[in-house]
Amino acid sequence: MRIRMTLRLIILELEELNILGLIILAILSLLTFYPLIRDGYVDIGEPAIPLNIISVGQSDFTSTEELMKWIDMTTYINKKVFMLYFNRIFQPRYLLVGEDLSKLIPIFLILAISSYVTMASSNILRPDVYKRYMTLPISRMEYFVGKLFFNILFVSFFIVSTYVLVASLYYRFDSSIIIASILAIPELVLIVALTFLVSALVKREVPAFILSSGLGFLLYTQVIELIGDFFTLRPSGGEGVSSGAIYGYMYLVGFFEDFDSLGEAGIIYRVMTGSLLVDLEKSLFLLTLYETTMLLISFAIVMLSSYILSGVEVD
Amino acid sequence: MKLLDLEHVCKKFVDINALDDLSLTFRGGVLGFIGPNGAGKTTTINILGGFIKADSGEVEVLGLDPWNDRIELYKRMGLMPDEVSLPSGLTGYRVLKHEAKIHGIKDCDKRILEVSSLLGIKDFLGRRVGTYSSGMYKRLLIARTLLNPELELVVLDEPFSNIDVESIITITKLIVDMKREGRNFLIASHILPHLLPVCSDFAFIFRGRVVAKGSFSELLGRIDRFHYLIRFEGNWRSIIQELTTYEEVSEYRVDELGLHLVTRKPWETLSKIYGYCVKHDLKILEVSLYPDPLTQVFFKLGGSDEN
Repeated sequence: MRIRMTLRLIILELEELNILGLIILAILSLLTFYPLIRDGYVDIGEPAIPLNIISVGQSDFTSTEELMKWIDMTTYINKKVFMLYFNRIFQPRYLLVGEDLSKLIPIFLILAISSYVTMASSNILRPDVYKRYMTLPISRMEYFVGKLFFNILFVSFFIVSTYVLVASLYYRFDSSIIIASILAIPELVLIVALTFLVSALVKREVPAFILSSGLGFLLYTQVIELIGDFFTLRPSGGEGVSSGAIYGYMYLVGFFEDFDSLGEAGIIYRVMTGSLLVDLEKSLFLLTLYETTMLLISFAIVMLSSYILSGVEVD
Repeated sequence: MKLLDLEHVCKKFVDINALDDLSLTFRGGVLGFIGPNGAGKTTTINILGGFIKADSGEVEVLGLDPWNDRIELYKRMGLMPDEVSLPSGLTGYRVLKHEAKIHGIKDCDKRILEVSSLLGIKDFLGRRVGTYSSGMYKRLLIARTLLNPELELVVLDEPFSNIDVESIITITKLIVDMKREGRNFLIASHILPHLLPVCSDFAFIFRGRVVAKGSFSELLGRIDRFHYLIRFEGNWRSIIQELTTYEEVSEYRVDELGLHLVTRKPWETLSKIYGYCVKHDLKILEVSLYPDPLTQVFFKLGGSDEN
């Protein structure tokens, strides 16, 4: 497989975007993020700091003013973390759980992905499109890898860009928004890659949409959670140091700009995680491992999908 | 060297035998690949283009396996499938430019200009593909097929269908000119009269099998009943009485087009008719095989020449 040829196909694809799919994707992404960010910002943090944490902090301050200032800052960061907590849309506990209907909002994101993926993938094996590329000196593998990579990366970046836009309008554009977005890409890529494969193989749009939505929800509610849990170290009996990819994520997103040292951040970090003993360095390591693993899985899925699709005859 | 070599190829779709022991060899020139709809023309092209695999049999195009050696194959072969969707939002120029780059053509713009001039679409390259007429679109499809200057074989599937007269003339002229330069074409079509001026050989496919192949004169030898249309000037209907004395003429009828007749011995019948016209001062405006000779061969091979 020639990388240059694949890139050329990706560029070619860029000029042939599925505009209708894109519009649906944009609308559903906005529907997802608007209430999520709004609720995240409004609902959290009045006072949102457990009293035991305040009492932990209390001992460090000599005056009431200093303590109040610390509580204010902690509350602010608390809000910010929840607002920027992009990945929480991938947490099952926010889906179909709880009394608040707004918790169902992330469904829109899965539907957005499914609808775009269905429209884009219906092209991939359509004879008139397939034959156009297949009458050029390229291999089937190059064609499918180019198509899959383009669509997967495009959908993922489009969704996080929508998130960045909404978050910036509600809050302000800063590096934590970018971090939140970038860290969510591997999870998005995983969902898009698998739904794309299923959708392409099914060919017919309605069944493809139903199946890819179903698969999206399964990944969303089960698989990603499972992978996340795998990268989490929890103490037995509630004692000892806990750490996990998700803590590393929250730390990166919430404290990137606001604290210089881990020690200072640690207290507020415990507010976020609800755990008094968290190993931040280990959490960051697990986060890196988690993100890398997700990307590698996604890459493997793209290659496997392309290999499977390469064997399909198109007449 | 054989440009195409298909030996005992079979292809089945669910319970339909699309190709049934098809064998076809092509060594050069312009081959007309003729058959009715559903005969297996497009399936054959799909196999030799590497879009689908044969269930059994041997397939070689330019000495290569089209399914496994497609990169090498498309460096040497241009193929225009029956249906290709070009992005309607791009201009003709952008489409050709992208594809010229994929072909690795160094001076893309020069080549695009050459090919588009040959097909008479140079002035339309700046327009979006979505605004092209069907004739222009077909010419653009042929232009993209011919972009690579190194082609040893060009395969065109239905190049004359759904297009205007100007496009037919342009495409015909292009193929004739390229034939003179030694280019090889395989042209699949069910519109037979357009193939006559361009093809040196013809292969007829019926029900998934090649039933006849040869030059025009060889195929004409297969006809034993020649259908003619003769148009006269003046009061010519007295010739009908004369026709009843011609033993070799089995049928005749008159309609608004002129005199239709079926004869076993065309030259003998025509000589007699010319003689009669000279004697009676009648003018012949046109004598033609009607339907055209290829169509007559087609009906004969298809077993429906009585119609």
